[in-house]
Amino acid sequence: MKRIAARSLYTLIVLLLSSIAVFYAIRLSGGDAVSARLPASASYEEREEFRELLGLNDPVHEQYFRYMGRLLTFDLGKSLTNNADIFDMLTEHGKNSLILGAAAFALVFVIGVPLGILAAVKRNSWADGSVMTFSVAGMAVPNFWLALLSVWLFASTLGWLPSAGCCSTKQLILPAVVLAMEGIALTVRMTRSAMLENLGQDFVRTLRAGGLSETSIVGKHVLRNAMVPIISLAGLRIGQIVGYALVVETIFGWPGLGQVLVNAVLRRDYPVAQFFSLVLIAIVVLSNWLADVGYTVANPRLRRT
Amino acid sequence: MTAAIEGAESAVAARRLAWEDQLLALEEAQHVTGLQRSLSRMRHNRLLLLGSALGVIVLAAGILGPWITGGDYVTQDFQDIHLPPLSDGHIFGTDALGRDMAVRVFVGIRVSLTVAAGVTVLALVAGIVLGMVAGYLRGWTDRTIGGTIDFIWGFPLILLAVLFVGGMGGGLFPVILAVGLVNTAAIARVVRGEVLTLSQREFVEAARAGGYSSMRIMWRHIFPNILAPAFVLASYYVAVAVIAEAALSFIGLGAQPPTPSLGQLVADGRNFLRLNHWESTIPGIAIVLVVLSVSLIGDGLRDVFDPRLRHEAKSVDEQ
Amino acid sequence: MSPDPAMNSDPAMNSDPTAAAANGAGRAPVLSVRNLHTAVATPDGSFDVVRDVSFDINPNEVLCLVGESGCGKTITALSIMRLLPTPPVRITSGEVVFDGTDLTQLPERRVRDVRSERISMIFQDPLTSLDPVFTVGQVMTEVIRTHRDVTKAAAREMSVDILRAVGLPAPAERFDSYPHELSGGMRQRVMIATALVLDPEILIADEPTTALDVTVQAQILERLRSEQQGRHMSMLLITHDLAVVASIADRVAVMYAGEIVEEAPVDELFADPRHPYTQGLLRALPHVSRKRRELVPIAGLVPPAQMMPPGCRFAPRCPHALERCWDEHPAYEKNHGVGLRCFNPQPF
Repeated sequence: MKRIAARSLYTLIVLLLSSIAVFYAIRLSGGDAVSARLPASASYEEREEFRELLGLNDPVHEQYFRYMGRLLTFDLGKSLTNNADIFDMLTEHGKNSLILGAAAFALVFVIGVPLGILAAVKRNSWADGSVMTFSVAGMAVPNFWLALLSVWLFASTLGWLPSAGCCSTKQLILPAVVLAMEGIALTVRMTRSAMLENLGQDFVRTLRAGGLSETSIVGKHVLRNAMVPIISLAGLRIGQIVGYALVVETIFGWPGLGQVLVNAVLRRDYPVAQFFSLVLIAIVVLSNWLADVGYTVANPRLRRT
Repeated sequence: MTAAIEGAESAVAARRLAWEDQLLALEEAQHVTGLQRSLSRMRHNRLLLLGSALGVIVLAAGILGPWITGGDYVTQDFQDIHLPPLSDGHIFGTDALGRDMAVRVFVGIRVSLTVAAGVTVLALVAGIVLGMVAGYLRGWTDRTIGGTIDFIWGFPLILLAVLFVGGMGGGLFPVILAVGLVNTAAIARVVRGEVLTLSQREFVEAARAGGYSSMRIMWRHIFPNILAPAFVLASYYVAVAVIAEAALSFIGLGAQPPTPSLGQLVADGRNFLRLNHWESTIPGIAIVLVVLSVSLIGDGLRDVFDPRLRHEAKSVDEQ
Repeated sequence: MSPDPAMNSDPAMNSDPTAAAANGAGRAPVLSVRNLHTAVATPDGSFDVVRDVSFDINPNEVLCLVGESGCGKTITALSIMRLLPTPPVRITSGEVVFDGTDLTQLPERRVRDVRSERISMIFQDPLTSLDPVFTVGQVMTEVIRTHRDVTKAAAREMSVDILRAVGLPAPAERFDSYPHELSGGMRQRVMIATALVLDPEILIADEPTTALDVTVQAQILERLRSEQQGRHMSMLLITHDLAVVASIADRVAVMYAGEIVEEAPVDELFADPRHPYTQGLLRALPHVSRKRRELVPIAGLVPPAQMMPPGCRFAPRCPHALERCWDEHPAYEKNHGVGLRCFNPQPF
């Protein structure tokens, strides 16, 4: 409990500090945003007027508190490029990202853990060899390149799946698999090595001496022990998916939070960039916190001390 | 009678001497110095050999390639667009603007390697300093630095880079800074751990008991011992830097045109996949080769110099 | 280390151990190990780590297997339980006869029925030997319900009873504890309780007290001895510590470099050791002999596995070695429960 409380406090502090950091960083590039939005011929007065309109001439801390106040009332202003309400953008794109992210996250564990177990139980067999080769390949091939290859193969050549778009199940498959691939590869490796490490532990011998079946020893005792480090790193997996979503959503034209942020940065749409930066940071930080709580619950050595 | 006993005794003594010689010979045969072992492991490490061979090719392509081909990656030639590889004068063909793909790929490799070098130097220097300070000073300094390091290490690299580009504008500099920061955190974590372990060791305790100053202990006793793990880890992180730069350039946030970057070349070619897929495939293969060579070298070095780090590298994989 | 046998205040331990041995001698042994060979495969070839080991465990007796670390004691025990890490270690020949069947030939499924139900084993390090993510009770319940068709409630009752019997304070609460919440001595009691809960005929204890504090060691030994006598169980206790042997054993077998070199009732062995290695062990021990002697370490080291001497394996370190000892391998000769593997036994 103490550990969870400490992690929660740490998480709050990190959230606060990163919101301030993002805010200042965007302010530093504020001049850029102004020149990007106004024609080059705009006069000094016009620029100043625009800055005044955006509140950019007030002291930064005042702007910060004003912004935080507006956050609480869901009044986040509009996009500079298409005048869309930013809060509406969050609900719309957030939903899409949640679908894609959840699908990828599920794939990471649904595919990664069983393959890792298989490789560990059948170690040094052809099954182990192929699983590990797949895993190494999954980590060496950058995901944008994998995305292109899969589009070329499954969409252009075979015509089985659409190459881009949202939001049917068929359209979900390619981006979800590409987004999950590195996570799957890592989870396979980690599961395998954690299983092997725990299979060599003394307690396995004690359980065998107790006459338990191999099924129970491997499938229950060793597996539960091996899951501890994997669960503890699940939060990193979420963070990783959030990061790669920026690339994968852009490639597949999946209208999620990542695509919105990348486009906003490319177009210097700073209110949108600022808000969605904060949203993605919050997702990463909160998922790390969640994983930490999960780890504490999964590991009895931490739970009660 | 006594002579017989003495004879038997000396026979047993001779046997014992012969036995001890045999034992010594066995021990000597098994005894090899640390350096010999490293060298022999290096020679027998296929990963390292393969990686080094690839690495030499990649380095040659990045350094000699632009020099031999003249390095003109901007001249457009609308007569010869979308030429396939092995065309006259264009060994890798040309792109949509008729620019020579070979030159652009070689320069792209050079950009990748430059970014990787910048990131690695930054991460090594900053990571070692931060890790040593945190690990040795302990207390609130350690908690502050340690907390920051953990946070940055767990932060998605691409997101951080996008944030930096958002704040500083596009280009390679924010990319180097973002990747460098995450790699710094990764190296600092490991260095901090090493320092914590080393500080418990007898020779550091002895130096401290002997009244040596903290600076001297850090410099003379701890620093030499963390170099190997730090370098091994840094070599491992070169791959991370290469992939991140390529991915960011691919979505348009890294290298800005006309500077060619491998990721950007893949992106340029993707619109012509049906027409001439080589425009995307060749830079893509180049990325995979660069990544493969640096990660093989990283893996190999780790096996050779610090088998202990194998374990650490498992968590390194988390990035 | 205080290996003085006189320190054992427990009357049960000072009762004449030869009586139990004499009782057992008349009846058939509960377990017979015959000419057991166990080998380990290495890149340099296959080496016997246990070679031609034979001994009997009689009803109601405590047999101690003594020797330096690495001499093959633990591998012998694991061979009996069929718990060897195979590969690389496997039984190459020999028999382990228990209740009329050769355990080395049983299929894995049948061996599982024997483990814990009829032969139990406890291990050296009670921290790493317990599953860290399950409670004491979860594991005990699973062990019971694997062998017996009982309800969870009944299994819980059995577990709490046995935890209480082995002297664990507050057994009902400890049932729901995780191993890390217990002290070393408590963990070892948990392991003993789990091993005894199905009332086995034989308990194999591999260095059960080595990882514990000296005061706790005495308590655990006492508990093992009283459980063994109360349950009319036989025990094979593996140790490198002659003080432990003196306090608990009925009979002793001494191992050196994978072989048994001497076997005798405990009093006889301490009073009149025959094998030069056993004599060396006793001379290297403070206070065990009644007369004050100088401490004499055994010269040299155990030979490496890839260079076992062709003759007697102890010859290179033996003060009484003959030329014959270097050339011929002495056979293990056993009469009336006293065994010896030596060409040139000496009076102590």
